[in-house]
Amino acid sequence: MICEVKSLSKTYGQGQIEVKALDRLSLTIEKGEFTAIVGPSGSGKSTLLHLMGGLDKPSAGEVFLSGNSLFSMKPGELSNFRRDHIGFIFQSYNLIPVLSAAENVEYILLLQNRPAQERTKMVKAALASVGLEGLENRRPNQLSGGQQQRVAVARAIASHPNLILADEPTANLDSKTGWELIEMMRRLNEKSGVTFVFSTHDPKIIESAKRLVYIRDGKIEKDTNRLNEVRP
Amino acid sequence: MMLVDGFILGMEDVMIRLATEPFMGHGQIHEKDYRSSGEIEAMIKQVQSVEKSLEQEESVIGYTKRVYVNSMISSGSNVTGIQLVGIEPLGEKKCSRLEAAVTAGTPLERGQRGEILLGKDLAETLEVKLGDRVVVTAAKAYSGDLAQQLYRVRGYTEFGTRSFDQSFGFVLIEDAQDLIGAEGEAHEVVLRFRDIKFANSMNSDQFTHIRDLGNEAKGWPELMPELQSMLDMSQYSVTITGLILFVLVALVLLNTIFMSLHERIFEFGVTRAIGTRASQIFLLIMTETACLGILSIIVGLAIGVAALSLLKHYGIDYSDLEIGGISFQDPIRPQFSINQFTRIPLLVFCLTLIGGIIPAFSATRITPAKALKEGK
Repeated sequence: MICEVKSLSKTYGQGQIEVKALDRLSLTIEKGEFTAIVGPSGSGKSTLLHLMGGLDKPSAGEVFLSGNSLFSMKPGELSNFRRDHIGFIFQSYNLIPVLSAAENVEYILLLQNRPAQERTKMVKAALASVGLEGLENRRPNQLSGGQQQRVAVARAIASHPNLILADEPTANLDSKTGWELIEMMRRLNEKSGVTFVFSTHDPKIIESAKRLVYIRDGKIEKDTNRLNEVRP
Repeated sequence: MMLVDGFILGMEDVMIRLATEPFMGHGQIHEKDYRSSGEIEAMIKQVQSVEKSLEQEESVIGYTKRVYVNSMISSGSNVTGIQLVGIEPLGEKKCSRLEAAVTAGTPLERGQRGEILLGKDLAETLEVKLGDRVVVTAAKAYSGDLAQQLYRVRGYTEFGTRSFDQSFGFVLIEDAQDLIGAEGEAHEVVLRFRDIKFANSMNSDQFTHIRDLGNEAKGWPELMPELQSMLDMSQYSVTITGLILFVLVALVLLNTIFMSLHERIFEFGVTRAIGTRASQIFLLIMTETACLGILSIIVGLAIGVAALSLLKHYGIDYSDLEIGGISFQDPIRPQFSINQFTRIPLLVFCLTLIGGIIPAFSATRITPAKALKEGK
């Protein structure tokens, strides 16, 4: 087991305008999974991913990643843990606009204090694995949406994290580009065994996922693996 | 800030020059009780010895003796009180602007006795013209007997200061000494220093000797304490102006940095999400703030130097203004000072850094999820 979500709750607002985004949700993710968190808008998908990645604090509950309790960590430790163990892919690519594709990928390696030679090698490998050879020096605004999202994937996988969390990665892409991206991530999952967890309502991802976790109103509605096995 | 400082320095310089150069000099020597009592017999002790000491004093580049006589002056038309000053023409050239103040007629010359220069307004009061005769009546210094002397009007003086132009008359020192029966004596020695800053202390062996004789030797700050107070006040006003400017700068800076943070909140969210520590974000913003501060200082100094140079070259005309009896006949020329290139920029830099702390700290407090949501 790579990730364990235990009775996780997240409430936004206070008093009468209180909104429960997650309601005592529990979930486990095994190493090498290619899991999609599925649900309508406002169901709590992004909130769940943010909490699984330690980007936000829960109202209650806990997340364990590789056996480490995320919310027991001090802020600095949590930042380091995210840096070393979790990769993020966001809906709107979220590249740093002033950095080139290679620099965006290299940024996380710089934070890890890796030597320059090793960084160059890892950046090259990451960009090659997402099919972006030759575009290393382009800035985000010189790349298409699909290419930008590939850079985001390269950034996520560059440091070889245990878990990659992708928040609606194809939402801003056309269907062809979205499909290519999903296939590419699926290949990475199968080839290198990287664990992917997506939040999506994109049928293409749902089709490709090995496991589907349906959530509604902050609770798991259905949890299905590729063999259509329903978990308790 | 640089401009304000330069302007105040220029104003101080003009005020000090206008206070000292026309008549007062950088410093003065009197018998120790003369200034408080104003007694006519309070002559400088051993004035020849004082002169000898001044000849040996390196900081003194000029001195001149004066005799002051409170007297009555009468013309054919009028009678009025007058402060008659006995002067040494050659010494005055070095120590005062008396010669330049003669706007009609000619300055007094050594050896040409029996002639008087009158303040322009005084001449009008007396209704006298150049060449007319006036009679001065005064009490003798030691006997108290009345004495009179006849003078021919040689010229009019205009200092631009009411008290001088209305009630001062100038004669050769020998004439004044004769009038009060104090041959070879003087009430005052006016000093001009190589560096006017010497007037703040006037500490040297020669001045110690002069004081030991029973005299007092004082620089302009002690002779004109009201001017010194005014200059001190101008320093306070610079400090207050500086504080106001600094507060304004701090507010503008805070606004700028907060705006910049708000525009990049999404980027901060991303960088935090992928593992940048809060301390690294803090350092990043503080570094940006420091760069902003350095850039502002460079631009500010460039603008300040250009503006000050222009103002210094052309001067600012305040000729209609009179403060504390000093009329600003000379234009104010803002001054450069070492502070403008050291202390003020350093203060601006420190203030910039202090101003950056709040935004930098607030950037570290925002959670990555919130930043990503707000930035969308």
